[in-house]
Amino acid sequence: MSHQLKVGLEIHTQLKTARKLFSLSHNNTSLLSTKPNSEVSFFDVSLPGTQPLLNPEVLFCALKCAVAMNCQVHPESRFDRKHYFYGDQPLGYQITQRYHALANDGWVKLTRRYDGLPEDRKIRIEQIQIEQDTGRSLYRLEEGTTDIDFNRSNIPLIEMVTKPDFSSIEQVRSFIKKYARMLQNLDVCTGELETGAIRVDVNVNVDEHPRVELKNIPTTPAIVSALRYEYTRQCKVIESGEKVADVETRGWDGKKTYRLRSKEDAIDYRYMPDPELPAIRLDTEDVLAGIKNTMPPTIEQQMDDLMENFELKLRDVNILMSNPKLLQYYVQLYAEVVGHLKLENPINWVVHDLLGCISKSELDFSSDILPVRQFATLLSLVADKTLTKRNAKLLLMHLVNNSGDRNKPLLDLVNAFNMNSKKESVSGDEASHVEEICSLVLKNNQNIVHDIVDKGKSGKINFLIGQCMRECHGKIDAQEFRVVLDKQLAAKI
Amino acid sequence: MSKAVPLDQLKQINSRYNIFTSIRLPLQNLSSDHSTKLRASIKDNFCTTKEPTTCSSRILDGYISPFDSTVANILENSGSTTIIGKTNLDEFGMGNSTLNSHFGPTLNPLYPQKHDIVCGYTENAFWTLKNNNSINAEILHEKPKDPSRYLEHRYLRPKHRTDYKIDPKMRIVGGSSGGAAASVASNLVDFAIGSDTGGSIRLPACYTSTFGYKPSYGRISRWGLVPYAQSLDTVGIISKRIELISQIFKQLDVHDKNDPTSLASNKRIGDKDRWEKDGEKFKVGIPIEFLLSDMRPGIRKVWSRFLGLLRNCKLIDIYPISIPSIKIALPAYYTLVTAEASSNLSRFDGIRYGYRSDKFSDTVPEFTETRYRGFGKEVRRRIILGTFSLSSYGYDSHFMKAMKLRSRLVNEFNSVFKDRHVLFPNDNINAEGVDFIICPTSVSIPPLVCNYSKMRVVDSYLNDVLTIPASLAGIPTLNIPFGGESRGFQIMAQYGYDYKVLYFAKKVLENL
Repeated sequence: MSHQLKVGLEIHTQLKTARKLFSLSHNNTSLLSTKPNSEVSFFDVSLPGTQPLLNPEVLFCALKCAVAMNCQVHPESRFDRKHYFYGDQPLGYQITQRYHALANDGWVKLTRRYDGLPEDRKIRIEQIQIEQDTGRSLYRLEEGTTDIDFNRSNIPLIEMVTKPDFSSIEQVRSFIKKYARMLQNLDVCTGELETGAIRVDVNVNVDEHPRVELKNIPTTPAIVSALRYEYTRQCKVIESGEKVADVETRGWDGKKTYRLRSKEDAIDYRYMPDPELPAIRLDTEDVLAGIKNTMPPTIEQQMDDLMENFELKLRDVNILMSNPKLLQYYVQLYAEVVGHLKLENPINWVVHDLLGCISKSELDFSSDILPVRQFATLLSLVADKTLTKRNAKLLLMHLVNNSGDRNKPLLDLVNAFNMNSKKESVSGDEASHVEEICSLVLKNNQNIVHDIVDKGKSGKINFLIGQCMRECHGKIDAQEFRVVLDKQLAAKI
Repeated sequence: MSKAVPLDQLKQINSRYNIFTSIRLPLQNLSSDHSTKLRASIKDNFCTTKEPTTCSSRILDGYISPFDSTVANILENSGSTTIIGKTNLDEFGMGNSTLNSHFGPTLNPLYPQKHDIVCGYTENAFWTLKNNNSINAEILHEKPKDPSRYLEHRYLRPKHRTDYKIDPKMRIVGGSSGGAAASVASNLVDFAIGSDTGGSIRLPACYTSTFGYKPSYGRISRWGLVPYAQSLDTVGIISKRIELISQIFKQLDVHDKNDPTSLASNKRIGDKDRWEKDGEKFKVGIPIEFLLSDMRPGIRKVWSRFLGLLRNCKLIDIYPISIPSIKIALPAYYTLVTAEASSNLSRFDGIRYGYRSDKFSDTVPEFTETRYRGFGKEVRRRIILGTFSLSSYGYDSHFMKAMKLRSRLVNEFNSVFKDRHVLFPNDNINAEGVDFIICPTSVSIPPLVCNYSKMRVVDSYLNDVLTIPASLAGIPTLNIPFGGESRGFQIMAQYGYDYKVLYFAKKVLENL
């Protein structure tokens, strides 16, 4: 199949303002512990006689997004009403911006360098508008009823619509990742798809055939799978000589897409300008200059800075940038280790060893897992050969898993675990000592030796090295054992 | 302060003319310490916490608001006014007769009525937690075990006869603030708070020979007024005394941050001792478009007499002017007002408050059934009209067209006045312009109830033809009674010149 894929995205993003879009109730949906219908004001449930009042913080956040996506911000924008009946839509309409949106005509560039794509691609942004979120329906299927939680009602959203500029699924994946990171960086959104803070609808068509809209797909992997499925499906429909249904909306059940509605049952939303909300009027020159001043450096700038200032590889920078806390931790550690102690760049220790231990232990990164100072001490002990690298890694694993020991003097721990290579420094006859241990280990592990020598499973040497380390309580560097073991094994072939 | 009416007498009058939807207990009257307080009624589309807020609709029957409208708050906190009850209206303000109410028709107290509409009163009470503003706070309908924590609210609710007879000579009271005007006309209150979207204060004031004032749009806060059509809704005052209207307007003329359309403080033109220069007369414009063919000759004659009197006493000079868009004001108005209403009323789905049908089927969801049974016929008609105007079929051809006509009308009105529009400070001013426009409030005296009921719906809309232009333009307009029973004239001025209208009305009265 060599049909040309064309995709456009429509993304709804919850802004993490302190309060809601048109009322003073708190914007707490990200906290799952919030009791249903506890963050609800009179306006949020549309009591008769209430009126909307625009929260200026929403405008501030939305403008940051518009600037970050290189949009034209309009000096005047307005609110409109989009009508439909649903139990969790208390007004009977959603306040949104259709006819005069906040911003139009922007772009976001996906690049080879930063986004790992085969080639650069510019995605044009059609529109950014401010609108209200709805309440949440909780269906009680057994009882045949629906509970409604209005905590989410009237939470500020921005709806961002791209032009149909994506030609591969990989571009879509990169864009979503980039978008979420960008909004996190601007501090306007949690950036999570899983919690519904970012919701992506996908418009997809093949070879200029009618487009299909995919709605309510929860995560990036699901979006990728749904897109793959839909691409294949549409290609098959076309190749079989049939027609793709005109402007169809489809959902995703985890395995396949299925029809939600087609053109015939499309809703007439009866848009109208809101008759009481005043227009947003901006002295754009002045306001946008102010907004730009509050904006942090872009992700790409930050990546470049990191690569330059810390002499890092792009791959490592990507890992650091995915978690602001990790990045901050690394920067502090770097200052301590390189700036203070004049040691090597600790990047590999952080992204391989520390993160490796953390993920093996199924923990989330936090700077308390290993205080920066403790980590620096550990590295200084390796540098002055008090600790072998191997022991340092064992100790790291120990500290990650034993919070009680994290703040103890490190040298005490080293001694307690008998890891101090200096204390019982290997004597002059170290070489013969190594030979001795290796011979012993080979003798006690004939099966392994057999595997290595006769079956060619050379990787099993690591097991033998491990046994040697155990014999010497880790006081000898693993590399020395490897050399001797190699020599002794070679003699057996 | 006129003499306070005791409860028995109030009930008696109310039983005849069906003015109130609820009456607060205990009725504040008679005792000497209250004798200095003004008594007021408030239209039942303003939210209050002491009795239900129904908009005279089944869909809000028994609904109790957890908050007070700004207007009710200001009046009650002033210490000089007591609200004695809430008045009947055309359901959600949709009508000009106060015959379209879920709680029966309000009749015109200027005309005799021999039979009662109300056959009795039920005393109701409910309790709310003190100092509680939470949305989840329950309203108790039975006496709580620890009454000290609660506020008790008691009110009378009229019970309506099903077989009431209306006198064949009874004329409509006008609407939609018919209950408000009737409460003033029958001397039950010193003044009444109403709302005016297209004439809802001025027309009943005219039909009951009272003063009815619709200020500039945005001048009195709408917070707590259940919207009919927000771009036109205004809060106003009805009274028999012009000084009282001035006094109450001054109290209510404050910016309210809760209302996004409330006029900013720095745009509120204040009161002046006098608005004319020495030796100068006020210029009054008569738009030729108001010389309607269906205006009754009697009304036209009184109009001439009224203007003649004012000219003879050297108060005014008269100029013919032209505001061509007045001719299309009526269809533009009904297009916009129904579109906004269809949108505003979509929140009434029975899920969160108010009436709920509890009936549904596989094809008809519960909210459809709720809305069908909860709204009266006229409300349903206007929702359907508005839904059409906003649909993809009607949007450009109806709604947008009406929007454009409205802005043309606003500009035309703006250009005939010599004062500067507060919201268009950069427009050129017309040095030759007029101070006021004077025209009748109604093309005829009020129709007989029996005739009105037989009238085609569209013909009944024509009663609003003289009041609608000022609503679309948002300008301050006062009904001043003149020329006999149920006759009155509108005084209109430039947007924002509310005190000038009131000043001029006082001058007019001194000279009549």
